[in-house]
Amino acid sequence: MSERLQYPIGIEYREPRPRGALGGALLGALFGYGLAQNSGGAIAGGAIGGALGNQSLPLNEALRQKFAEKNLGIISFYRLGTHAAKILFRHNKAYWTLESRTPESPEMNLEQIEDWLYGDLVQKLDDFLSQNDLRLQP
Amino acid sequence: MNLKEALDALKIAFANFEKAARSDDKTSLQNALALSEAKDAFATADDTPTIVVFADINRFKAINTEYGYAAGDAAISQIGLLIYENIT
Repeated sequence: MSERLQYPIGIEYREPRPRGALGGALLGALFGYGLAQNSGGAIAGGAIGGALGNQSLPLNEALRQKFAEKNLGIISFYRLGTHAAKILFRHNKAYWTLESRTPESPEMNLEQIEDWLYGDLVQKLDDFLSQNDLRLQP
Repeated sequence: MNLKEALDALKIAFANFEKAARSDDKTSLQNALALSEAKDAFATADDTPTIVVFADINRFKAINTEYGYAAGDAAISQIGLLIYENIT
């Protein structure tokens, strides 16, 4: 189940981190694996997380999942205070960074900040890839 | 999402955790846990040639200081890649 997250009025919409059973299962698997350090722990954690349902992955993990879907690996994730994040990744034999900072708004809570940063970095990655691929065409 | 899809997603997640637990984020090279497991495997194997390499990066701090941590991490990543491509 996924729901459209609301941001405070005046904040431009960004795609939030994935929610629902998969997010919960993956989050549970992360914790299960962390506790048990084996597949049994991950599967058990995943089952518990899936049952808990509507959870999101931490920003770092959510971004790593998204990058992995595009066959890219994040080399480093930097949290620049509460309102900003930067990622370092490799693409076409070169190193690149993408950085995002939330708009100034005291009304944004931590969940909304994490979701906004996720959506903004994903959007910037898509823009980067489309521009980069165009540039590489003969 | 049905049960099969959830289990498939968990299997992929588990494979990723396994890989992540045994490799270094910045270099993608195997980490201390992988080394420890390999050491145990080597100890029980016969006639297996084994090489252990200790390497250091001279004046690395200057990269971080001059160009920032992201550049330093990119340098570590590239060095890891060179090691991987030339030794494995």
